[in-house]
Amino acid sequence: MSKSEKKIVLKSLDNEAFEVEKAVALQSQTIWVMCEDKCVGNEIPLENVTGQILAKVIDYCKKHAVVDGDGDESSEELKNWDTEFTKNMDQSTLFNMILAANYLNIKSLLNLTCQAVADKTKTIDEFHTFLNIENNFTPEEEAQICQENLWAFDD
Amino acid sequence: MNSDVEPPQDKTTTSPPSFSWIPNDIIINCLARISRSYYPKLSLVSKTFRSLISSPELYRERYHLKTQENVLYVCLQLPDRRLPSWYSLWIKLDQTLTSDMDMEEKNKSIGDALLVEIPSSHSPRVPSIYIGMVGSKHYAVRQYSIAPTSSPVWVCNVEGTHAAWREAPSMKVARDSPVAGILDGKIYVMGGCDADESTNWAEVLDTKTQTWESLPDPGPELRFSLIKTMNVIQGKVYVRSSVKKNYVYDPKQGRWDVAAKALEVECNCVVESVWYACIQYGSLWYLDTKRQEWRKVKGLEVLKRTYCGGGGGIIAIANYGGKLLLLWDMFEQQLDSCQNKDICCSVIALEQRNGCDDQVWGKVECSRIVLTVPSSYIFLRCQVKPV
Repeated sequence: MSKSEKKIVLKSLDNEAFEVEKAVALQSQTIWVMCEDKCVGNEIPLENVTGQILAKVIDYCKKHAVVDGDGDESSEELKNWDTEFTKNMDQSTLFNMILAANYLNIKSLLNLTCQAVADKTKTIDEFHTFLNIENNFTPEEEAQICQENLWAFDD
Repeated sequence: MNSDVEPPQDKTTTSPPSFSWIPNDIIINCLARISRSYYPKLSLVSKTFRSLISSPELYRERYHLKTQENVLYVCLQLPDRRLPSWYSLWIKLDQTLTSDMDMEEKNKSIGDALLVEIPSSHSPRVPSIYIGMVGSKHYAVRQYSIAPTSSPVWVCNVEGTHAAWREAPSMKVARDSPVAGILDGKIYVMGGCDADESTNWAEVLDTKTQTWESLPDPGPELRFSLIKTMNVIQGKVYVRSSVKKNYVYDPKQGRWDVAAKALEVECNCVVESVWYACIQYGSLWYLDTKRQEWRKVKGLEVLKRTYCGGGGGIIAIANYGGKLLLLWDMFEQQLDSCQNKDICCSVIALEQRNGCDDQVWGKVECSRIVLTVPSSYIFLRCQVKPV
Protein backbone atom coordinates (compact mmCIF):
# COMPACT_ATOMS: atom_id res chain seq x y z
CA MET A 1 0.00 0.00 0.00
CA SER A 2 1.50 3.35 -0.99
CA LYS A 3 1.56 6.29 1.31
CA SER A 4 -1.24 8.17 -0.46
CA GLU A 5 -3.63 5.20 -0.29
CA LYS A 6 -3.34 5.16 3.47
CA LYS A 7 -4.93 8.58 3.72
CA ILE A 8 -8.54 9.45 3.18
CA VAL A 9 -10.42 12.76 3.09
CA LEU A 10 -13.70 13.12 4.96
CA LYS A 11 -15.88 16.02 3.95
CA SER A 12 -18.50 17.36 6.34
CA LEU A 13 -21.93 18.74 5.63
CA ASP A 14 -20.55 22.27 5.78
CA ASN A 15 -17.73 21.37 3.38
CA GLU A 16 -14.94 21.09 5.88
CA ALA A 17 -12.34 18.58 4.74
CA PHE A 18 -10.40 16.32 7.12
CA GLU A 19 -7.49 14.21 5.96
CA VAL A 20 -7.12 11.15 8.16
CA GLU A 21 -5.40 7.79 8.18
CA LYS A 22 -7.56 5.14 6.58
CA ALA A 23 -7.25 2.98 9.66
CA VAL A 24 -8.75 5.82 11.69
CA ALA A 25 -11.70 6.37 9.37
CA LEU A 26 -12.49 2.71 8.85
CA GLN A 27 -13.70 2.37 12.43
CA SER A 28 -16.86 3.76 10.96
CA GLN A 29 -18.77 0.89 9.41
CA THR A 30 -20.52 3.36 7.15
CA ILE A 31 -17.22 4.65 5.74
CA TRP A 32 -15.89 1.11 5.54
CA VAL A 33 -18.86 0.08 3.40
CA MET A 34 -18.45 3.18 1.23
CA CYS A 35 -14.80 2.33 0.64
CA GLU A 36 -15.53 -1.32 -0.08
CA ASP A 37 -18.58 -0.76 -2.20
CA LYS A 38 -17.26 1.33 -4.98
CA CYS A 39 -14.53 3.76 -5.60
CA VAL A 40 -15.70 6.97 -4.07
CA GLY A 41 -12.26 8.27 -4.69
CA ASN A 42 -10.20 9.52 -1.84
CA GLU A 43 -12.84 11.93 -0.68
CA ILE A 44 -15.88 10.79 1.22
CA PRO A 45 -18.80 13.19 1.61
CA LEU A 46 -20.60 12.85 4.95
CA GLU A 47 -23.85 14.66 4.50
CA ASN A 48 -25.17 14.22 8.00
CA VAL A 49 -22.28 15.50 10.08
CA THR A 50 -21.06 19.06 10.62
CA GLY A 51 -17.37 19.88 10.72
CA GLN A 52 -17.52 20.68 14.41
CA ILE A 53 -18.91 17.26 15.27
CA LEU A 54 -16.81 15.41 12.71
CA ALA A 55 -13.64 16.86 14.26
CA LYS A 56 -14.63 15.34 17.61
CA VAL A 57 -15.51 12.01 16.03
CA ILE A 58 -12.10 11.94 14.36
CA ASP A 59 -10.43 12.73 17.70
CA TYR A 60 -12.19 9.73 19.16
CA CYS A 61 -11.30 7.46 16.25
CA LYS A 62 -7.65 8.52 16.33
CA LYS A 63 -7.45 7.63 19.99
CA HIS A 64 -9.08 4.27 19.40
CA ALA A 65 -7.30 3.34 16.19
CA VAL A 66 -4.67 0.67 16.29
CA VAL A 67 -2.25 2.09 13.77
CA ASP A 68 0.51 -0.29 12.76
CA GLY A 69 0.80 -1.56 16.27
CA ASP A 70 2.40 1.59 17.65
CA GLY A 71 1.33 3.52 20.71
CA ASP A 72 -0.85 0.85 22.26
CA GLU A 73 -2.71 2.59 25.04
CA SER A 74 -3.54 0.62 28.11
CA SER A 75 -7.23 -0.05 28.49
CA GLU A 76 -7.25 1.90 31.73
CA GLU A 77 -5.81 4.98 30.02
CA LEU A 78 -8.27 4.66 27.18
CA LYS A 79 -11.13 4.46 29.63
CA ASN A 80 -10.00 7.62 31.39
CA TRP A 81 -9.63 9.36 28.06
CA ASP A 82 -13.19 8.34 27.13
CA THR A 83 -14.51 9.69 30.42
CA GLU A 84 -12.75 13.02 29.88
CA PHE A 85 -13.93 13.08 26.27
CA THR A 86 -17.63 13.16 27.16
CA LYS A 87 -17.35 14.78 30.58
CA ASN A 88 -17.64 18.40 29.55
CA MET A 89 -19.69 17.93 26.41
CA ASP A 90 -22.75 20.14 26.40
CA GLN A 91 -26.16 18.63 25.77
CA SER A 92 -26.44 19.64 22.14
CA THR A 93 -22.95 18.37 21.27
CA LEU A 94 -23.72 15.09 22.98
CA PHE A 95 -26.98 14.84 21.08
CA ASN A 96 -25.24 15.45 17.76
CA MET A 97 -22.43 13.05 18.66
CA ILE A 98 -25.03 10.31 19.18
CA LEU A 99 -26.58 11.04 15.81
CA ALA A 100 -23.13 11.05 14.18
CA ALA A 101 -22.08 7.81 15.88
CA ASN A 102 -25.32 6.25 14.72
CA TYR A 103 -25.01 7.52 11.15
CA LEU A 104 -21.33 6.59 10.89
CA ASN A 105 -22.06 3.32 12.65
CA ILE A 106 -19.30 3.42 15.26
CA LYS A 107 -20.66 1.09 17.91
CA SER A 108 -18.20 1.91 20.69
CA LEU A 109 -18.71 5.67 20.29
CA LEU A 110 -22.47 5.18 20.30
CA ASN A 111 -22.22 3.21 23.54
CA LEU A 112 -19.92 5.78 25.09
CA THR A 113 -22.24 8.66 24.26
CA CYS A 114 -25.35 6.77 25.39
CA GLN A 115 -23.60 6.08 28.69
CA ALA A 116 -22.85 9.80 29.01
CA VAL A 117 -26.53 10.56 28.49
CA ALA A 118 -27.47 7.99 31.12
CA ASP A 119 -24.98 9.52 33.56
CA LYS A 120 -26.10 13.11 33.02
CA THR A 121 -29.80 12.74 32.39
CA LYS A 122 -32.10 11.32 35.01
CA THR A 123 -35.07 13.60 35.47
CA ILE A 124 -38.07 14.41 33.32
CA ASP A 125 -36.85 17.99 32.85
CA GLU A 126 -33.38 16.89 31.85
CA PHE A 127 -34.79 14.59 29.19
CA HIS A 128 -37.13 17.31 27.93
CA THR A 129 -34.19 19.68 27.51
CA PHE A 130 -31.87 17.08 26.07
CA LEU A 131 -34.27 15.79 23.47
CA ASN A 132 -35.95 19.14 22.89
CA ILE A 133 -39.39 17.68 23.48
CA GLU A 134 -42.37 18.52 25.56
CA ASN A 135 -44.68 16.49 27.69
CA ASN A 136 -47.39 15.29 25.31
CA PHE A 137 -49.71 13.82 27.92
CA THR A 138 -53.04 15.39 28.64
CA PRO A 139 -53.37 16.53 32.27
CA GLU A 140 -55.80 13.63 32.81
CA GLU A 141 -53.34 11.07 31.45
CA GLU A 142 -50.57 12.54 33.56
CA ALA A 143 -52.69 12.42 36.69
CA GLN A 144 -53.54 8.80 36.00
CA ILE A 145 -49.91 7.77 35.60
CA CYS A 146 -49.02 9.56 38.83
CA GLN A 147 -51.91 7.82 40.55
CA GLU A 148 -50.74 4.40 39.34
CA ASN A 149 -47.30 5.06 40.73
CA LEU A 150 -48.03 6.98 43.88
CA TRP A 151 -45.23 5.10 45.61
CA ALA A 152 -42.72 6.59 43.19
CA PHE A 153 -43.96 10.16 43.23
CA ASP A 154 -45.06 10.58 46.79
CA ASP A 155 -42.22 11.43 49.11
CA MET B 1 -44.40 18.15 18.77
CA ASN B 2 -45.94 14.77 18.52
CA SER B 3 -43.47 12.11 19.52
CA ASP B 4 -45.92 9.35 18.73
CA VAL B 5 -44.81 9.55 15.13
CA GLU B 6 -42.08 7.10 14.25
CA PRO B 7 -38.76 8.88 13.76
CA PRO B 8 -37.76 9.34 10.14
CA GLN B 9 -34.56 7.61 9.12
CA ASP B 10 -32.47 10.46 7.83
CA LYS B 11 -32.27 14.19 8.15
CA THR B 12 -29.74 16.35 6.48
CA THR B 13 -29.81 19.40 8.69
CA THR B 14 -28.25 19.49 12.09
CA SER B 15 -29.97 22.09 14.21
CA PRO B 16 -31.97 22.50 16.31
CA PRO B 17 -31.82 18.94 17.64
CA SER B 18 -35.03 17.05 17.47
CA PHE B 19 -36.15 13.97 19.33
CA SER B 20 -37.70 12.55 16.18
CA TRP B 21 -34.24 12.05 14.65
CA ILE B 22 -33.15 9.66 17.33
CA PRO B 23 -34.20 6.10 16.63
CA ASN B 24 -35.96 4.31 19.46
CA ASP B 25 -33.15 1.80 19.86
CA ILE B 26 -30.79 4.61 20.87
CA ILE B 27 -33.25 5.88 23.49
CA ILE B 28 -33.45 2.29 24.72
CA ASN B 29 -29.66 2.09 24.79
CA CYS B 30 -29.59 5.20 27.05
CA LEU B 31 -32.50 4.10 29.25
CA ALA B 32 -31.05 0.63 29.76
CA ARG B 33 -28.01 2.25 31.39
CA ILE B 34 -30.13 4.10 33.95
CA SER B 35 -31.22 2.41 37.17
CA ARG B 36 -34.67 0.88 36.96
CA SER B 37 -35.71 2.93 39.97
CA TYR B 38 -35.92 6.04 37.76
CA TYR B 39 -38.32 4.45 35.28
CA PRO B 40 -41.64 5.31 36.96
CA LYS B 41 -40.82 9.00 36.85
CA LEU B 42 -39.25 8.90 33.40
CA SER B 43 -42.37 7.42 31.90
CA LEU B 44 -43.83 10.92 32.24
CA VAL B 45 -41.31 12.36 29.77
CA SER B 46 -43.53 11.58 26.78
CA LYS B 47 -45.83 8.96 25.35
CA THR B 48 -43.01 7.37 23.39
CA PHE B 49 -40.92 7.16 26.56
CA ARG B 50 -43.74 5.53 28.39
CA SER B 51 -44.12 2.80 25.80
CA LEU B 52 -40.33 2.28 25.56
CA ILE B 53 -40.06 1.93 29.33
CA SER B 54 -42.56 -0.90 29.39
CA SER B 55 -41.22 -2.59 26.25
CA PRO B 56 -39.52 -6.00 26.32
CA GLU B 57 -36.74 -4.50 24.15
CA LEU B 58 -35.59 -2.35 27.07
CA TYR B 59 -35.22 -5.38 29.31
CA ARG B 60 -33.45 -7.30 26.54
CA GLU B 61 -31.01 -4.39 26.19
CA ARG B 62 -30.37 -4.34 29.95
CA TYR B 63 -29.49 -8.03 29.67
CA HIS B 64 -27.07 -7.41 26.77
CA LEU B 65 -25.47 -4.37 28.39
CA LYS B 66 -25.15 -6.23 31.70
CA THR B 67 -26.93 -3.39 33.49
CA GLN B 68 -29.52 -5.65 35.08
CA GLU B 69 -30.37 -5.08 38.71
CA ASN B 70 -31.56 -7.65 41.21
CA VAL B 71 -35.28 -7.60 41.83
CA LEU B 72 -37.05 -9.43 44.61
CA TYR B 73 -40.38 -10.97 43.68
CA VAL B 74 -42.73 -12.01 46.47
CA CYS B 75 -45.84 -14.15 46.18
CA LEU B 76 -48.55 -13.84 48.83
CA GLN B 77 -52.01 -15.24 49.28
CA LEU B 78 -54.32 -12.54 50.57
CA PRO B 79 -57.50 -13.59 52.39
CA ASP B 80 -59.87 -11.68 50.08
CA ARG B 81 -58.45 -12.99 46.82
CA ARG B 82 -58.86 -16.18 44.86
CA LEU B 83 -55.43 -16.21 43.23
CA PRO B 84 -52.01 -15.51 44.71
CA SER B 85 -50.70 -11.96 44.32
CA TRP B 86 -47.22 -11.10 43.13
CA TYR B 87 -45.19 -8.10 44.19
CA SER B 88 -41.84 -6.74 43.19
CA LEU B 89 -39.56 -4.80 45.48
CA TRP B 90 -38.78 -1.28 44.36
CA ILE B 91 -35.95 0.57 45.93
CA LYS B 92 -36.54 4.26 45.65
CA LEU B 93 -33.19 5.99 45.48
CA ASP B 94 -32.45 9.19 47.26
CA GLN B 95 -33.24 12.22 45.22
CA THR B 96 -29.81 13.82 45.26
CA LEU B 97 -29.30 13.03 41.61
CA THR B 98 -32.35 14.92 40.50
CA SER B 99 -32.64 18.61 39.90
CA ASP B 100 -36.05 18.66 41.47
CA MET B 101 -35.30 20.75 44.53
CA ASP B 102 -38.57 20.37 46.38
CA MET B 103 -38.29 16.59 46.20
CA GLU B 104 -34.73 16.69 47.37
CA GLU B 105 -35.17 18.48 50.64
CA LYS B 106 -37.79 16.12 51.99
CA ASN B 107 -36.06 12.83 51.68
CA LYS B 108 -32.47 12.72 52.74
CA SER B 109 -32.51 9.13 53.88
CA ILE B 110 -30.84 6.35 51.91
CA GLY B 111 -33.77 5.71 49.70
CA ASP B 112 -36.89 3.82 50.44
CA ALA B 113 -38.25 0.42 49.56
CA LEU B 114 -41.73 -0.81 48.77
CA LEU B 115 -43.41 -3.95 47.53
CA VAL B 116 -45.44 -2.95 44.48
CA GLU B 117 -48.08 -5.25 43.13
CA ILE B 118 -47.66 -6.78 39.67
CA PRO B 119 -48.75 -5.96 37.10
CA SER B 120 -48.12 -2.29 37.22
CA SER B 121 -46.98 -0.33 34.23
CA HIS B 122 -43.43 -0.53 35.56
CA SER B 123 -43.31 -4.19 36.36
CA PRO B 124 -44.16 -5.46 32.92
CA ARG B 125 -42.09 -8.57 33.43
CA VAL B 126 -44.15 -11.54 34.42
CA PRO B 127 -42.15 -13.29 37.11
CA SER B 128 -41.21 -16.86 36.43
CA ILE B 129 -39.38 -19.30 38.60
CA TYR B 130 -36.37 -21.01 37.11
CA ILE B 131 -36.74 -24.77 37.50
CA GLY B 132 -33.43 -26.02 36.10
CA MET B 133 -31.86 -27.75 33.14
CA VAL B 134 -32.52 -31.02 31.37
CA GLY B 135 -30.02 -31.82 28.63
CA SER B 136 -29.35 -28.56 26.82
CA LYS B 137 -32.67 -26.98 27.71
CA HIS B 138 -33.60 -24.59 30.50
CA TYR B 139 -37.02 -24.82 32.09
CA ALA B 140 -38.97 -22.18 34.00
CA VAL B 141 -42.50 -21.94 35.34
CA ARG B 142 -44.56 -18.81 34.88
CA GLN B 143 -45.87 -17.41 38.10
CA TYR B 144 -48.29 -14.75 37.24
CA SER B 145 -50.95 -14.80 34.60
CA ILE B 146 -54.18 -12.89 34.16
CA ALA B 147 -56.00 -16.22 34.09
CA PRO B 148 -54.83 -19.80 34.65
CA THR B 149 -52.92 -21.10 31.64
CA SER B 150 -52.42 -24.63 30.35
CA SER B 151 -48.85 -23.81 29.36
CA PRO B 152 -47.22 -22.37 32.48
CA VAL B 153 -43.94 -24.15 31.74
CA TRP B 154 -41.45 -22.43 29.43
CA VAL B 155 -38.43 -23.92 27.78
CA CYS B 156 -35.29 -22.37 26.32
CA ASN B 157 -32.74 -24.11 24.15
CA VAL B 158 -29.23 -22.94 24.93
CA GLU B 159 -27.55 -24.42 21.87
CA GLY B 160 -28.77 -21.85 19.39
CA THR B 161 -27.35 -18.36 19.09
CA HIS B 162 -30.67 -16.83 20.07
CA ALA B 163 -31.79 -18.11 23.41
CA ALA B 164 -35.51 -17.59 23.14
CA TRP B 165 -38.06 -18.91 25.57
CA ARG B 166 -41.10 -20.70 24.24
CA GLU B 167 -44.03 -22.52 25.79
CA ALA B 168 -43.61 -26.19 26.61
CA PRO B 169 -46.44 -28.57 25.52
CA SER B 170 -49.86 -27.85 27.04
CA MET B 171 -50.73 -29.47 30.35
CA LYS B 172 -53.95 -31.33 30.98
CA VAL B 173 -55.29 -28.59 33.24
CA ALA B 174 -54.76 -24.83 33.31
CA ARG B 175 -52.79 -23.46 36.26
CA ASP B 176 -51.86 -20.19 37.88
CA SER B 177 -48.63 -19.90 39.92
CA PRO B 178 -48.00 -23.64 40.27
CA VAL B 179 -44.84 -25.05 41.86
CA ALA B 180 -42.36 -27.07 39.84
CA GLY B 181 -39.17 -29.11 40.11
CA ILE B 182 -36.89 -31.45 38.13
CA LEU B 183 -36.17 -35.07 38.94
CA ASP B 184 -34.53 -37.61 36.62
CA GLY B 185 -35.08 -35.52 33.49
CA LYS B 186 -38.75 -35.00 34.27
CA ILE B 187 -40.52 -31.77 35.15
CA TYR B 188 -42.99 -32.04 38.04
CA VAL B 189 -45.69 -29.37 38.18
CA MET B 190 -48.34 -29.20 40.89
CA GLY B 191 -51.14 -27.03 42.17
CA GLY B 192 -52.42 -23.73 40.89
CA CYS B 193 -55.62 -25.40 39.68
CA ASP B 194 -58.99 -26.18 41.26
CA ALA B 195 -58.68 -28.03 44.54
CA ASP B 196 -61.37 -30.40 43.27
CA GLU B 197 -59.11 -31.46 40.44
CA SER B 198 -58.15 -34.87 41.82
CA THR B 199 -57.06 -36.68 38.64
CA ASN B 200 -54.70 -34.05 37.23
CA TRP B 201 -53.73 -32.05 40.31
CA ALA B 202 -50.08 -32.99 39.76
CA GLU B 203 -48.56 -33.62 36.34
CA VAL B 204 -45.14 -34.66 35.10
CA LEU B 205 -43.50 -33.85 31.76
CA ASP B 206 -41.31 -36.46 30.17
CA THR B 207 -38.78 -34.21 28.41
CA LYS B 208 -37.84 -36.95 25.94
CA THR B 209 -41.33 -37.63 24.68
CA GLN B 210 -42.58 -34.11 25.50
CA THR B 211 -45.78 -35.51 26.96
CA TRP B 212 -47.54 -34.81 30.24
CA GLU B 213 -48.76 -37.55 32.50
CA SER B 214 -50.92 -37.26 35.59
CA LEU B 215 -49.64 -38.26 39.01
CA PRO B 216 -51.81 -40.04 41.58
CA ASP B 217 -54.08 -37.90 43.73
CA PRO B 218 -52.26 -36.70 46.88
CA GLY B 219 -55.58 -36.45 48.71
CA PRO B 220 -57.84 -33.53 49.56
CA GLU B 221 -55.76 -32.19 52.45
CA LEU B 222 -52.88 -31.18 50.21
CA ARG B 223 -55.09 -30.18 47.30
CA PHE B 224 -57.18 -27.84 49.44
CA SER B 225 -54.17 -26.24 51.14
CA LEU B 226 -52.05 -23.38 49.84
CA ILE B 227 -49.00 -24.75 48.09
CA LYS B 228 -45.81 -22.94 48.99
CA THR B 229 -42.78 -24.65 47.51
CA MET B 230 -41.52 -27.84 45.94
CA ASN B 231 -38.12 -29.36 46.70
CA VAL B 232 -36.46 -32.37 45.15
CA ILE B 233 -34.41 -34.17 47.77
CA GLN B 234 -32.80 -37.59 47.35
CA GLY B 235 -35.01 -38.81 44.55
CA LYS B 236 -38.26 -37.64 46.10
CA VAL B 237 -40.49 -34.63 45.58
CA TYR B 238 -41.34 -32.70 48.76
CA VAL B 239 -44.24 -30.27 48.81
CA ARG B 240 -44.61 -27.61 51.48
CA SER B 241 -47.98 -26.05 51.98
CA SER B 242 -50.10 -24.22 54.50
CA VAL B 243 -50.78 -27.48 56.32
CA LYS B 244 -48.24 -28.30 59.02
CA LYS B 245 -47.05 -31.62 57.62
CA ASN B 246 -45.09 -31.93 54.41
CA TYR B 247 -46.15 -34.25 51.66
CA VAL B 248 -43.68 -36.33 49.70
CA TYR B 249 -44.08 -38.07 46.34
CA ASP B 250 -41.91 -41.07 45.59
CA PRO B 251 -41.73 -41.56 41.80
CA LYS B 252 -40.25 -45.06 42.08
CA GLN B 253 -43.23 -46.33 44.01
CA GLY B 254 -45.63 -43.90 42.34
CA ARG B 255 -47.24 -42.85 45.62
CA TRP B 256 -47.74 -40.03 48.08
CA ASP B 257 -46.81 -40.07 51.75
CA VAL B 258 -46.63 -37.65 54.60
CA ALA B 259 -42.96 -36.81 55.13
CA ALA B 260 -41.65 -38.51 58.28
CA LYS B 261 -39.91 -35.38 59.46
CA ALA B 262 -40.74 -31.80 58.64
CA LEU B 263 -38.07 -30.11 56.56
CA GLU B 264 -36.06 -28.67 59.38
CA VAL B 265 -34.91 -25.47 57.86
CA GLU B 266 -37.70 -23.56 56.24
CA CYS B 267 -35.83 -20.38 55.37
CA ASN B 268 -32.46 -20.86 53.79
CA CYS B 269 -30.31 -19.61 50.97
CA VAL B 270 -26.76 -19.68 49.68
CA VAL B 271 -24.57 -16.58 49.46
CA GLU B 272 -21.11 -17.11 48.00
CA SER B 273 -21.27 -20.83 48.65
CA VAL B 274 -22.17 -20.44 52.32
CA TRP B 275 -25.51 -21.72 53.57
CA TYR B 276 -27.55 -19.29 55.65
CA ALA B 277 -30.68 -20.17 57.54
CA CYS B 278 -33.13 -18.86 60.09
CA ILE B 279 -33.39 -21.78 62.42
CA GLN B 280 -34.34 -20.17 65.65
CA TYR B 281 -36.77 -17.37 65.94
CA GLY B 282 -35.04 -14.07 65.49
CA SER B 283 -31.56 -15.12 64.59
CA LEU B 284 -29.61 -15.87 61.50
CA TRP B 285 -27.26 -18.83 61.24
CA TYR B 286 -24.71 -20.09 58.73
CA LEU B 287 -23.15 -23.46 58.09
CA ASP B 288 -19.46 -23.51 58.93
CA THR B 289 -18.20 -26.28 56.69
CA LYS B 290 -14.81 -26.50 58.40
CA ARG B 291 -16.32 -27.05 61.81
CA GLN B 292 -19.33 -28.93 60.46
CA GLU B 293 -21.72 -26.91 62.57
CA TRP B 294 -24.28 -24.14 62.36
CA ARG B 295 -23.03 -20.88 63.80
CA LYS B 296 -24.78 -17.63 64.53
CA VAL B 297 -24.15 -14.60 62.32
CA LYS B 298 -22.77 -11.92 64.62
CA GLY B 299 -23.60 -8.25 64.79
CA LEU B 300 -27.33 -8.55 64.17
CA GLU B 301 -28.56 -7.71 67.65
CA VAL B 302 -30.02 -4.46 66.26
CA LEU B 303 -32.26 -6.43 63.99
CA LYS B 304 -33.43 -8.74 66.70
CA ARG B 305 -34.39 -5.80 68.89
CA THR B 306 -36.37 -4.33 66.00
CA TYR B 307 -38.68 -7.21 65.46
CA CYS B 308 -38.80 -8.93 68.79
CA GLY B 309 -42.13 -8.35 70.42
CA GLY B 310 -43.66 -7.52 67.07
CA GLY B 311 -45.60 -10.75 67.13
CA GLY B 312 -44.29 -11.88 63.80
CA GLY B 313 -41.33 -13.73 62.46
CA ILE B 314 -38.97 -14.22 59.58
CA ILE B 315 -40.75 -15.01 56.34
CA ALA B 316 -37.90 -15.61 53.95
CA ILE B 317 -34.25 -14.98 53.27
CA ALA B 318 -32.69 -14.56 49.85
CA ASN B 319 -29.40 -13.86 48.15
CA TYR B 320 -29.66 -10.29 46.95
CA GLY B 321 -26.60 -9.76 44.82
CA GLY B 322 -24.17 -11.07 47.42
CA LYS B 323 -26.07 -9.53 50.29
CA LEU B 324 -28.67 -11.19 52.41
CA LEU B 325 -32.23 -10.01 52.10
CA LEU B 326 -34.42 -10.75 55.05
CA LEU B 327 -38.21 -10.55 54.90
CA TRP B 328 -40.06 -10.53 58.21
CA ASP B 329 -43.39 -9.41 59.51
CA MET B 330 -44.93 -7.92 62.64
CA PHE B 331 -48.30 -6.61 63.71
CA GLU B 332 -48.98 -3.08 62.58
CA GLN B 333 -47.61 -0.77 65.23
CA GLN B 334 -49.98 2.17 65.18
CA LEU B 335 -53.08 0.17 65.99
CA ASP B 336 -53.95 -1.94 68.96
CA SER B 337 -55.95 -4.38 66.90
CA CYS B 338 -54.24 -7.27 65.19
CA GLN B 339 -55.94 -6.76 61.86
CA ASN B 340 -52.90 -5.94 59.82
CA LYS B 341 -49.31 -6.98 59.59
CA ASP B 342 -46.38 -5.00 58.29
CA ILE B 343 -44.00 -6.86 56.04
CA CYS B 344 -40.49 -5.57 56.53
CA CYS B 345 -37.36 -5.96 54.51
CA SER B 346 -33.76 -5.77 55.70
CA VAL B 347 -30.67 -5.84 53.54
CA ILE B 348 -27.66 -7.30 55.34
CA ALA B 349 -24.07 -7.07 54.15
CA LEU B 350 -21.99 -10.07 55.15
CA GLU B 351 -18.36 -10.13 56.07
CA GLN B 352 -16.11 -13.01 56.96
CA ARG B 353 -13.85 -11.70 59.69
CA ASN B 354 -10.64 -13.58 59.72
CA GLY B 355 -9.54 -13.99 63.27
CA CYS B 356 -9.12 -16.85 65.61
CA ASP B 357 -12.54 -18.25 64.78
CA ASP B 358 -13.39 -16.93 61.27
CA GLN B 359 -16.79 -15.70 62.34
CA VAL B 360 -19.28 -14.25 59.82
CA TRP B 361 -20.58 -10.80 60.72
CA GLY B 362 -23.64 -9.11 59.36
CA LYS B 363 -24.33 -5.40 59.00
CA VAL B 364 -27.89 -4.17 58.54
CA GLU B 365 -27.79 -1.68 55.67
CA CYS B 366 -31.44 -0.82 55.69
CA SER B 367 -34.69 -1.96 57.28
CA ARG B 368 -38.03 -0.81 55.95
CA ILE B 369 -41.71 -1.60 56.13
CA VAL B 370 -42.43 -2.55 52.53
CA LEU B 371 -46.08 -3.59 52.59
CA THR B 372 -49.04 -3.73 54.98
CA VAL B 373 -51.37 -6.70 54.56
CA PRO B 374 -54.27 -8.31 56.44
CA SER B 375 -52.72 -10.39 59.22
CA SER B 376 -54.23 -13.62 57.88
CA TYR B 377 -52.14 -13.42 54.69
CA ILE B 378 -49.96 -16.38 53.80
CA PHE B 379 -46.48 -16.05 52.37
CA LEU B 380 -46.05 -18.51 49.51
CA ARG B 381 -42.66 -17.91 47.92
CA CYS B 382 -40.15 -15.36 46.73
CA GLN B 383 -37.23 -15.15 44.39
CA VAL B 384 -34.52 -12.72 43.35
CA LYS B 385 -34.02 -12.19 39.63
CA PRO B 386 -31.81 -9.88 37.60
CA VAL B 387 -34.01 -7.51 35.58
